[in-house]
Amino acid sequence: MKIIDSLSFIGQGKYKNQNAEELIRKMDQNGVEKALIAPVDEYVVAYNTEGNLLVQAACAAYPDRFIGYAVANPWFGNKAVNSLKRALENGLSAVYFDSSIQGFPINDHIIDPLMNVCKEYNVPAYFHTGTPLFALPFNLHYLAIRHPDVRFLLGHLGANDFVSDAIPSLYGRDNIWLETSLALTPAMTRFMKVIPDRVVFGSCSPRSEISYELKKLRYGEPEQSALEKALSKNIETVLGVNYR
Amino acid sequence: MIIDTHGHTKDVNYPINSTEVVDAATMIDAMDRFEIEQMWISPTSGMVNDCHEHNIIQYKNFKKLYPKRFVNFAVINPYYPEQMKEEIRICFEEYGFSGIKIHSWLQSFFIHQPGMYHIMEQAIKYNVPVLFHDGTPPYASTLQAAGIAERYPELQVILGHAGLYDETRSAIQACNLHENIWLCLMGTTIGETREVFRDVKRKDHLLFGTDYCCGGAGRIPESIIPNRIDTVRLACPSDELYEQVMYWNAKKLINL
Repeated sequence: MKIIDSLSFIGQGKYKNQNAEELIRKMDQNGVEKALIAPVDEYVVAYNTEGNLLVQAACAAYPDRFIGYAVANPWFGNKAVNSLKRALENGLSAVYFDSSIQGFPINDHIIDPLMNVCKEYNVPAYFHTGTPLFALPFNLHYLAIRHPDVRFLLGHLGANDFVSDAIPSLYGRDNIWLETSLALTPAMTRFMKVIPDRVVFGSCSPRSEISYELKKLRYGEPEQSALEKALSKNIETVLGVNYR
Repeated sequence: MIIDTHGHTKDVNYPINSTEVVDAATMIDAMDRFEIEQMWISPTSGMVNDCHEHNIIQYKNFKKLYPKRFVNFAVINPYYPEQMKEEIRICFEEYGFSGIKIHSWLQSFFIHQPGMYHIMEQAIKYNVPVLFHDGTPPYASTLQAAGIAERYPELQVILGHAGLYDETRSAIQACNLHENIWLCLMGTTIGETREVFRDVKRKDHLLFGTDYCCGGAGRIPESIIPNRIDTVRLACPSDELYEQVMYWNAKKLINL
């Protein structure tokens, strides 16, 4: 069964460390065909352009294996808008945000210019969730209401303590998908059963391990069709036909 | 073998309108399959209902039936200060409970207030540890719970989730600063669990827990047990330390 990992990281950061070759090795060991990669830690917060160049280089080196997330911090204003446009024009296919370390509530209007870029370039936006008070599922719900033309990935199913908000945050919204990394088997299993078209697999490697995240996903013995959607089909829908 | 220092018993009405009850034999069966010799338990339903009723149910239906397999932690509710004086006396003098469980998020109170301080003083009197849910602001942040350890250095404080996903580094700092804090590795990611193993100075203050069976019984709900065993196994740098954390540190803290 085809596997696309919707979230993993590369780079040498304060807390996360993993180079492209290490990630490729883990992907090979676990049958992962492609991975969406974002740069680590300080590249997400401050050194966005350098992070984007790092991801672009990895995608160029392994074009059949990596799909690149761009990063941008809205506090940089127009600089962030221009940097993000450059990254998307240079081949990155989605945008990764972690507002809990970038310093804004997901639904704050400061993010609107960058959402307009996502709409203009027709790329999805991933948001880390699960961290009060900046990064909760319902923060993303409000952003998704304001930007109905942008496709959103809600990170970690809201785990740890906000998994219960993940499905309610989809209410009335057809532009949010839920990414599984860091959640536990009971939530993954229930979501694949209840909303199979909205679940996408991610590993969050190296914060977690690909093998461990796949094991949790499969442990609940989900329907094959739901598993297939979670492992590849849904993220292909989110990315659209033009992803590289 | 494993000692699970953070388990629960499940009775009716939690979550709301739940009618599911998991009996002791079912829990023992799951514990046997995952090589859990002993589980420290507190009644989930007691956090949102009459804690006295559920503490006693736990004693009669679990501890009394399998005295070596279960270790009883009493849920105490500071909203009822007069009743809690008697509840603490009953639990520790008549029923032989071994610890106190505080889940200030589910129980809806701020940790730092006079009613809680009285309960902590009783825990010191009976020489029992207090297991806190931590990692969830605003009622149960890691450093709010750690503040109790600082205020009462003679009290044994267990941070029941070692900070969960977002406060692990705070838990590490607190554990290194205060000798009376233990960290239960349950709910941290593999990455942050590696940081715990690397950065916590007193490895003998690391414990293991699963939260079983707060979500019920059966293959899917009990999957939290292997999920959490895998987390520690993948993060732990040596077999010797793994055995220490999964078993011996708990044995040292409460040896029945």
